Amino acid sequence: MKRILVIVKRDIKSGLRDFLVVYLMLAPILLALILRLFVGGMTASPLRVAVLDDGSAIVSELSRLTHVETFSTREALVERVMRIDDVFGVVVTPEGHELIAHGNEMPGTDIVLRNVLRRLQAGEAVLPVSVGVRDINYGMSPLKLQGGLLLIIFTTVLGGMLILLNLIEEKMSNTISAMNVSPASKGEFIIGKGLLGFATPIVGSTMAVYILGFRDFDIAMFVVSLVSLASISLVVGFLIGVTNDEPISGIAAMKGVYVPVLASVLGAMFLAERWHFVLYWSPFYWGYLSMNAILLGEATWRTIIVNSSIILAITAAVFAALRPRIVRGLR
Amino acid sequence: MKKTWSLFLQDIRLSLQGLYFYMEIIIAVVFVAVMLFVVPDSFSRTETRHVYLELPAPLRSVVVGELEASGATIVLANSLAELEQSMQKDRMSSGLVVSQDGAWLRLEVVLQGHESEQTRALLQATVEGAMLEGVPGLTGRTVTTVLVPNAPRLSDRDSLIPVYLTINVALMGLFIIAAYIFLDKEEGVIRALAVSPLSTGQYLVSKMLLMLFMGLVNSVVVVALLRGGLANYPWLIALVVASNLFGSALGLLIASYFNSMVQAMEVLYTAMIVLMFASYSYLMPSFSPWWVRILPTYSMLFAFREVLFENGNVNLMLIAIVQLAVLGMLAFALAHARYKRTITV
Repeated sequence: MKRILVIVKRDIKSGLRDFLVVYLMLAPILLALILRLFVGGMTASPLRVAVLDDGSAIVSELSRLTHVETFSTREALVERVMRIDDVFGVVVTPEGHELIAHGNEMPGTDIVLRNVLRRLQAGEAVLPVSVGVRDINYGMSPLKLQGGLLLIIFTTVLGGMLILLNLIEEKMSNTISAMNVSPASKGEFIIGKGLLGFATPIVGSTMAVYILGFRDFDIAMFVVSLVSLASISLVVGFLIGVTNDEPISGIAAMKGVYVPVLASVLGAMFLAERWHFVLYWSPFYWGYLSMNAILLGEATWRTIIVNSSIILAITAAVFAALRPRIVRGLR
Repeated sequence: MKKTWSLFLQDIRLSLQGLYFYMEIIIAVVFVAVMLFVVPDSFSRTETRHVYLELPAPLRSVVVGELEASGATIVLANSLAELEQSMQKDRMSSGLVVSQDGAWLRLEVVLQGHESEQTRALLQATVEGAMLEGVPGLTGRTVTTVLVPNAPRLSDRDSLIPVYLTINVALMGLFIIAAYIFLDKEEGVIRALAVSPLSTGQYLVSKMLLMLFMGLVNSVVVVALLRGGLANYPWLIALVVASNLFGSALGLLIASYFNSMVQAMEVLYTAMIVLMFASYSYLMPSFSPWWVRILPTYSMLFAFREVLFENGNVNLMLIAIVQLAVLGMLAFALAHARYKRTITV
């Protein structure tokens, strides 16, 4: 234990000296802040409209419903519509409105605007239907939830990536050979080396989740799930770190790892539930399910323990299968 | 130039002995296979709408028919409570309650609750406007002017190609070039170069050319297999050159502030994620706030879309190429100035 702590202490010391620990903490926080800004923008209207600034009521009427940009001439308005994003032009005509489209907008968006213009043309007239909007009081944006989940999973993977790069650098500077003649065993070395890349993403992810505004979740369940998720990143990081002698091949291998990580997370998000069995092999899938339930406030200890046990079982199986290779690589 | 070329050829020979080049090819082939055999040509964007009808039977079937014609997946609920429970189970769904208000229909759209006031007002106006269609005397006339009739559109599947090209081709150098520099530093190659007739600039350019070589191979393989003769290859190559050199120069600049790959990793990783925020605006073009529009990847993604057409928007491609080339040169000049001072240390 003492020797493990010495290795951790040495890693923290060198990590603080070259700001590694600071970066590990800062990256998820910075990304959470950007994500928050991004999600904030997404709550605005999904429709953007360019109109002439000629004092007509259309500017204020449309501003209530859409994002409006004003232009002094028709040429400037047309130039705006022709730019790469989806912005429609609206010009008031004696008969009603002219809708100016580029022609490559997402299908269906022009129909929404036509309906809006039709509604504005009706003005105060009594409509043949009454329409109301209400909600079921669920304030969490799906974008914030999914963005937060992706951020958590990528932060833990990043922890593994840093372990592998750290190991490769140690190998290149021959400090691993020095470790072989030190009193620390290989197991102590592995734990000691892994703790920094293991613990800092946990702290970073927790802070990121708070920054994103998640409050009503069970922190104990969150930490248990995060620890189990970080364990697979740790094993992957070690495996790649010890089997590669230079950072380029390490990054190449890690890039290969990102494919199943992305596939399992995106699959869990978008695949119909009857297809989820194809993702059962992936610990990131189980981690995603746990985190999703926790942030939604719907998790139970039973679910968390089952999912975390599956993650740890897969991690243990991978580690057991590859242990000889890891130990050989540490020589 | 000759010295840079020799060094570049040597770098290619060395990279062919390593894992990275082959990993890029494998990822490209896997991407093509997934696109061809897994991703459908058109994504079904059907929204699930839970509907509760407080209506007499003859009217119910008429309303159901109308709602199904809208393209949404309609799930009928037997009560208001059942509708809300179903919506709680599927947080991406919405609801609709249809009842009679005297002689008129009353529609109540039920949302989850995270939607802004503006979105709610837009939704209400849209539904009211849709119900006004065909009602004489109440509305004026809306004429549509399409500036580019028959503008080409990519299938949903092919729309993903620019995202791949941006991540895996344009920004390939962001990580890898830094890894190459740190590896050379660690192995003493840079010290050896310091006593050779090669300048720092030539050394850096050779590394950027290596990234470009890999990027060109990767992009041409992917685009040829997925778009065949439908793409504009001269523009594709020009854009890959500009974007890949920009990515590599940015990687060089970021790496110049660090002593090891581990230190640089976090900043490179963050830069990559920030740059890729533009992909959301690319896939949802109505979301284009100024801070996304100023990202170089924003115009890059749309330019990659245009090169996938035989006759894409030349202005758009040209502006993106010039913009990326200028930014790339600026980043390279800054990185070069820094490496000239630090690379041999």
